[in-house]
Amino acid sequence: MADNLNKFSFTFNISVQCPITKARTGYIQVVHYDVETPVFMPVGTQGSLKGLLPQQLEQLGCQIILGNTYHLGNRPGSEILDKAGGLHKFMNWNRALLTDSGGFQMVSLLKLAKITEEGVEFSSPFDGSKCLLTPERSIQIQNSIGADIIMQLDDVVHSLTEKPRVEEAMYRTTRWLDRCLIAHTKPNTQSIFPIVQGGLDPILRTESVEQLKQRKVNGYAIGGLSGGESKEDFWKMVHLTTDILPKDKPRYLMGVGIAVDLVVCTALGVDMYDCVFPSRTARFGCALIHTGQLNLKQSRYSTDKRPIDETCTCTTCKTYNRSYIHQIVTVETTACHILTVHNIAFQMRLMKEIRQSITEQRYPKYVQDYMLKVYPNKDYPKWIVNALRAVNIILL
Amino acid sequence: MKFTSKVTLPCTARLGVLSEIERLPNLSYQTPLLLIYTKRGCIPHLCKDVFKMLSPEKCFLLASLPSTLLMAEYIKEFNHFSEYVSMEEYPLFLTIQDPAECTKSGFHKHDSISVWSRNGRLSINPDRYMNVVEIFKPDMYVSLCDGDTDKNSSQKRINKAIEKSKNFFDKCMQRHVESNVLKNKGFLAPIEGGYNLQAREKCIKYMKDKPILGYIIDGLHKNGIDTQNIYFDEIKHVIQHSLNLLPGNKLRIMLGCWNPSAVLDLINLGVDVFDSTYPFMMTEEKKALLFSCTSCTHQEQQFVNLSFKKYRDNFTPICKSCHCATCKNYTKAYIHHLIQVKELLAQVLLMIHNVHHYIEFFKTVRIHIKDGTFQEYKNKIQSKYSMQM
Repeated sequence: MADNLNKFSFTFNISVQCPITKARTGYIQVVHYDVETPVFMPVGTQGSLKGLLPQQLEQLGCQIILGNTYHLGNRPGSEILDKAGGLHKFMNWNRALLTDSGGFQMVSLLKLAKITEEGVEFSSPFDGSKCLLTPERSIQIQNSIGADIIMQLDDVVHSLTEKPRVEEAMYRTTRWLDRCLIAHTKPNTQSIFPIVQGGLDPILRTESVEQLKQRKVNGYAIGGLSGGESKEDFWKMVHLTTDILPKDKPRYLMGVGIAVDLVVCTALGVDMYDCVFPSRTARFGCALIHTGQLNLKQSRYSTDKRPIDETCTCTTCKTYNRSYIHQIVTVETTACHILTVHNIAFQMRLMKEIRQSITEQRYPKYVQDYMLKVYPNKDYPKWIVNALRAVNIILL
Repeated sequence: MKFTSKVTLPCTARLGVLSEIERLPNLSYQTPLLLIYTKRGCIPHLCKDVFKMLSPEKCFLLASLPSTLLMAEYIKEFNHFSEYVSMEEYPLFLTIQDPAECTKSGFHKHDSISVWSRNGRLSINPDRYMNVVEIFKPDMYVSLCDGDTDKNSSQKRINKAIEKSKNFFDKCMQRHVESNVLKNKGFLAPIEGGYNLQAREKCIKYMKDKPILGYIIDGLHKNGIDTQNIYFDEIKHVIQHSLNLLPGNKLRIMLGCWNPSAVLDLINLGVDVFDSTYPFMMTEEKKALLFSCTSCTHQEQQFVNLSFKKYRDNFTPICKSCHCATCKNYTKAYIHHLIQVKELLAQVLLMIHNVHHYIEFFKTVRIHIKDGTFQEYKNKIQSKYSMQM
C-alpha cells in the first residue's frame, strides 16, 4: 500500500526524437494508464463521449479523454463525484483522464464573465446568482473529478486582444498557477499543467515560459491559440514556445485537432492535443476523411454504395454504406454514434501513423507524403510550407 | 418458412418453432418469440456492434413502412433491405404501421391506406406495397391491411376496414404466389374487426383456409405508447373468440406496446409472437425495467424512473442480478446524471438494459411453458402489476 501511495504519479519518457524535425514519440505514465505520445484526446464534456460506451472508446484505441470542469462542477457536482470516488469510477473509464480548468468555458459560454485578481466572476446560468471561480475552487473541483492531468485556472484572453491586456493576463496566469499549486491536495495522483500565455507577442510568450519553468510541474499546456489568429501567427507561436519549453516535459496544445494541424504541430514538437471537432462534426452528419470531410446529409450520397472510407478499418466503415447513413443521418441517434466512431477512429489512426513514423525515423517523409495526399495538386497553404520549412521539411 | 407447434387445447400457452427461413436456413426460432423493433433499419440508439454485444443470438427483427418506405428506391440497388441496413445476418419481418408511433387516423380511400413518413402522408395500394415488398424481400411479411380501428371505432369503420383488408389480401396473395422472390417467404393474413366479435368472425372465416404461415391479430389499437394502458380484460373476449376460430397450426402475432402483464395473458391464450416496442418506449421515458426480476429487493417494482432526483447518489446498478452490460458496468447515479445533462449515452445504456431484460423475459417464459410452470410464473409477475392497478 505504502508503495502505491508513494508511486510517482507522472513520468514522461521520450523513446525516439526525430533527428530532423522537433517531433518526438514516447509515453506519459500516469496513475491510470501509459499514454503513448503524440496523442489526441477526444473530448467527453460531461462524463460521456457522444453516446459511445467507454468500452467502445477502448476498442477505438483512446488512451486518454478530456472532461470539462465547468460542466462536471455543475452536474453532477463535486459532492456526487466525491461520493462516487471520482470521475473514473463514476463513468467506468479505466484509462487516463484530463480536465480543463473551467476558465475557458466561463469566458466563452458566459458573456457576462468578469475577471478580477480573485478569479472569474459570473452569473450562474441556472439561477442567475453571482458565482466566483477562483484558482482554488477550480483545483478543488478537479481534485474531486480526480483526472490524472489537471489544468491550472488561467486568465483566458482572446488571441487578438491588445497588448496591455495580454500582458496582464500572462502575469496573472503565473500568479494563479502558484495559488493552484498551493490548493492542490492530490499531487501524488494528479499533475497540474500550467498554461503558457502571452498571446501573439514573442516577448510575452518567452517571459511566460520563463516564469512557468521556475515552478515544479510535470508538463506544460500551450494556451491562448486556436482562437481566430492567422495560421501564420499560430504556427510561429507554437514553434517559439516549443523551442523554449523544457525538452523533457510533455507539451499540450489546447484546442487543436484538425488533421493537418496535428501533423504540422507534431513536427514543431507538440505531444498532446484535444479538440471537440471530430465528435461535434459527427453530430452534424460529417465524416472525416484525409482530404477534409464528407457531409453525409448531401443528396449526392443517397446512391453511394461505398463505405465512408474504403481504407478505414473501423466498425462503421466495415458495416455501413454511405447511402444508408445518408438516410438516417441527423434523424436517428445511431447515425451520430456510428459517425463518432468513425471520426474518433480517424483521429486515432492518424496519431498511430504519426507515432510509428517517428519511431521508425521517417517522420519528414511521412509529412511530405501526407501533405501530398491532402493536397494532390500541391496547392499547399503557405503557412504549412513555412511551418514545415522551419523544421527542415521541404514539401514535395 | 415453416411454423410447427405442439397443438394442445385451444387458448392455452404453447411452444412452437419457426424454421426453414429461405435466406437464413440455419436459423430457427422458438415461440413465444420476441421480434426486435427497428426504425429506419436501426435498433433505436444502438449501433450494430453494441447490439451484438447485447445479444449474441441472431434476433428476429421487425421493420415497418413509415420509416422505411422512402428508402425503397435506394434499396433497389442492393439485394434486399437487410443488406442495405447492414443487418443481413438477422431475419426480418415487415409490417405496415410503426407499433411505436401513434398512427394518424382517417385519410381513407377505398383502394389504399395512408402511411405517414417523415415527409408526410403516402398513399399505399396493394400494387405499390407489393413492389416495395419485392425490393425489401423480408423473410416474413403481412398482406397490406387497414388496421385503423380500436375500442371506439364505429361499426361502419370496422366493416370498411375488413372489406379493404380482404380485398387487399387477395391482391397481395396473388402477387405473393406469382413472385419468384417472395413465394417462399412467410406470408401472413391480417385479422381485423376492432372489438366486434361478429366482425372478427367474418374476417376469420374469410382468411382461415388460405395457404399462409399465420395471422396478425390487428385493429385493436392505433399503436404508440397508449397501447400499454390497454387492460387485458378489455380485449380478452375478442382474442379468445378469435383464437378459438383460428387454425391451431398457424402462427399468431400481436404487435404493439402491450404491457408485460398483458403479454403474459396473451401468451396464456396462445399468441406466439410479440415485439420489443415496450422496452423501447420505456427507454424513451427514462425508465429501466425490473418487472421480470424475481431475485432482488425491488421485487414488487415494474421499473425505476431514473430521471428522479433520488437516484443522484445511488451507486448501485439498476438490478444487481442482471447480466447486461449496463448493470455490469454502470450505476443508477451515472445514468441519472446522463439524463440530467441530456447525453445520448443515457438512452444507449437504458436501451441495452431494457431490451436485454425483455429478451430474458421471453426466454424465461419459454422455459416455464416447457416445464409446465407457466401459470405460477405468470401469477408471480402479474402480482407486481395488480398491486399498482
